[in-house]
Amino acid sequence: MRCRDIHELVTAYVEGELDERRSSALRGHLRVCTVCAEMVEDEVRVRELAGALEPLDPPAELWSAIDARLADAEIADARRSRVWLWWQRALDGARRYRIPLGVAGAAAAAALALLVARGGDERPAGESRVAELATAVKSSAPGDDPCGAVATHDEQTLCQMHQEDRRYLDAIAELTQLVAEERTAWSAADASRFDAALAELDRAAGDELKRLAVAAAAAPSSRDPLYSIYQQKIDLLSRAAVGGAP
Amino acid sequence: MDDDSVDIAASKKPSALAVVRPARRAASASDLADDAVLVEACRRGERRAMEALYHRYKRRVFGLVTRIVGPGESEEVAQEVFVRIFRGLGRFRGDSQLSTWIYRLAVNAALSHVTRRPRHEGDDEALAKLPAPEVSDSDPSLSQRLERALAHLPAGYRAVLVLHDIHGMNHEEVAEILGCQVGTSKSQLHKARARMRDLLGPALAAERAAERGGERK
Repeated sequence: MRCRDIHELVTAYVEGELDERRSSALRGHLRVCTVCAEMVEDEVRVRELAGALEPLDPPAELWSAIDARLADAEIADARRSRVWLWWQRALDGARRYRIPLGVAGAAAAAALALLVARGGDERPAGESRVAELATAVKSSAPGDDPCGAVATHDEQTLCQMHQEDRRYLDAIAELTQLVAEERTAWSAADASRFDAALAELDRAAGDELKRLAVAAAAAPSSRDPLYSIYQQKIDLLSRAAVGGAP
Repeated sequence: MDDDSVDIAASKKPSALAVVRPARRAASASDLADDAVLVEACRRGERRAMEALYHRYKRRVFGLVTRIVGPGESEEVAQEVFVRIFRGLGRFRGDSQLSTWIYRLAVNAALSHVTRRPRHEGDDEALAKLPAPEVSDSDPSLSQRLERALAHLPAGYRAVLVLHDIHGMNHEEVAEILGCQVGTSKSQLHKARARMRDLLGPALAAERAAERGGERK
């Protein structure tokens, strides 16, 4: 082992990351090379000194300064436009629900398939229960938990699926209303282009819903593609609501 | 990673700004020892929880920020970090530990601040080539020298050295916070230590000579 090798390995050696054979060779070199031995000593000392540095206390007034900035930020939020609030809500929905929805959707589809696959006498009861749950979710007020009262895990999952559907559809409905106000200022060409893009997504969502209705009875399948289309629709509407004509 | 002292008993006054949810009781002081409960309570706007979270992380955040941006601007950046924490808690999904998420926000804010700051004398590389000051009887302690030498490291090296050597994190944690590969963290630490050895070389040699002199006597 040469001095150049020690330069390359010193940190790994001090951190205990070298295998025994290389450690032994390195130690052997240090026994005969004072310069490298001192370099390793320095490395160890730097590590020791850094590890022993005292924690730093912030000034006592830091919390009140943060508190004041938070208050200012919330007051500024209150003064923001309605468009900004809608936009934040759409973004938040996208961030919060994209992944969990995928998981919940797959589980919900599996549970739906299970209910339907029971067949025989249970099928009509299962199907009517699905309709009941969908209605319960649809008629629930914001903040209610319509899934809290359901008894079985399958029903719970189904109910959650309807809740997630509703979240997307509510966001789409709200944004659509907002865009309807904005589009009065668009040119006919812009409006037509926007309508075409929206119609394409609606067609895709319709196809996906049909596919799910058939596939769920035969095999568990994820609602991810449907939610992805909903998300694209939310993105399109959000851009139109905030940025104006597409 | 030490847990900063928590003294929240003094802040029990109710806040009208807390989200009103009568069905759910406010988190108790013992509940708030748990990060998940603390986060939930902060999201509901419970002032006591927000203050508890601040006290739990204030020294870690302030220490990290100070050692990356320097003492002159650390207070401003630490304020910014905590504002981002409280306003971003709604987006914290618990994929990583709360402490990792907070460290990530703190490092990003500190590095962004350093990057934006106008440079007066060349770049960080040029600064790092400056010789360490001469040793004399009135010189500061080695620890103080180390703090000063930190300022002469390029910001990226500094962040890794602070997280690994001062905050005691392993390379996996450092890589997660900085969003880099574990190998990158290791190589940055290697370079940072080499630069620190250069910067502190004369002081370390003097310390070694003094120790050997003492041994001979």
